Amino acid sequence: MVRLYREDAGLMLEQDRSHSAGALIYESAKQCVNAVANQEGQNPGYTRAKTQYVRDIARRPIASQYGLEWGWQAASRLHIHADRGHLNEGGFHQNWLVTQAFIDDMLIMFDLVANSALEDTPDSTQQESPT
Amino acid sequence: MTTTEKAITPLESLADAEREFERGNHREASRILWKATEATFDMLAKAHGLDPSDHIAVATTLDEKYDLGLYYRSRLMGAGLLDDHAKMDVLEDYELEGLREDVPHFIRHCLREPNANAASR
Repeated sequence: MVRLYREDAGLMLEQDRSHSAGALIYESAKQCVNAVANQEGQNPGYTRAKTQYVRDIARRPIASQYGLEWGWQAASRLHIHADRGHLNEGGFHQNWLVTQAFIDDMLIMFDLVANSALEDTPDSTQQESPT
Repeated sequence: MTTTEKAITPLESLADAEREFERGNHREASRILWKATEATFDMLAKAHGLDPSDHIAVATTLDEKYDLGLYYRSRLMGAGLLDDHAKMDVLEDYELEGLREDVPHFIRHCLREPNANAASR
């Protein structure tokens, strides 16, 4: 689902439909958060729980080199843009770049968490990659 | 002119913003924190001989010059949520909690080490 939302977001952007692109890339970012959290047996249903989960994982040593909380904020700005259309072209583009990097970083987190989970519990089964 | 519109340093603004947060004036606190972020990018621009009128360009130049990925751009964009909230009242309290902590940390980091090559991800 991450990949599908992301591809659709890109298609919307190619058609200069930044509102739709913002909504879809935010969905992709949300799915990434869900996937990593699910990998740890968590289910952050509400946005509040997702935000807290991103902050939690961002503070772990394995995530220290990534600015995950900033990426989630950029995704949130694009979500707001989907409703309000408040970002100019330059602002949208930079938030888009940061959100794309957030998605890439969360996919790395997915693998890191999966691997560490496997080390901790040898019998556990790695989930299919969200990509 | 309000006290927050006087020529004050970003560090003084951080104290003002925290005071407004404590009073429950979250939109005013957000406005002050965003202005402090902008002032910080002004200072970064001047320290590196860049045009302070375009903060995105400042952030992009510093990221590229020091191979920092999206370090400055991600922080500028994330802090922009404060501007959004100040103008449109779009954030829940829990969304402000992270910004209330992270943005002052970033500003203090920049003011302590204005050279971008000292920044860490």
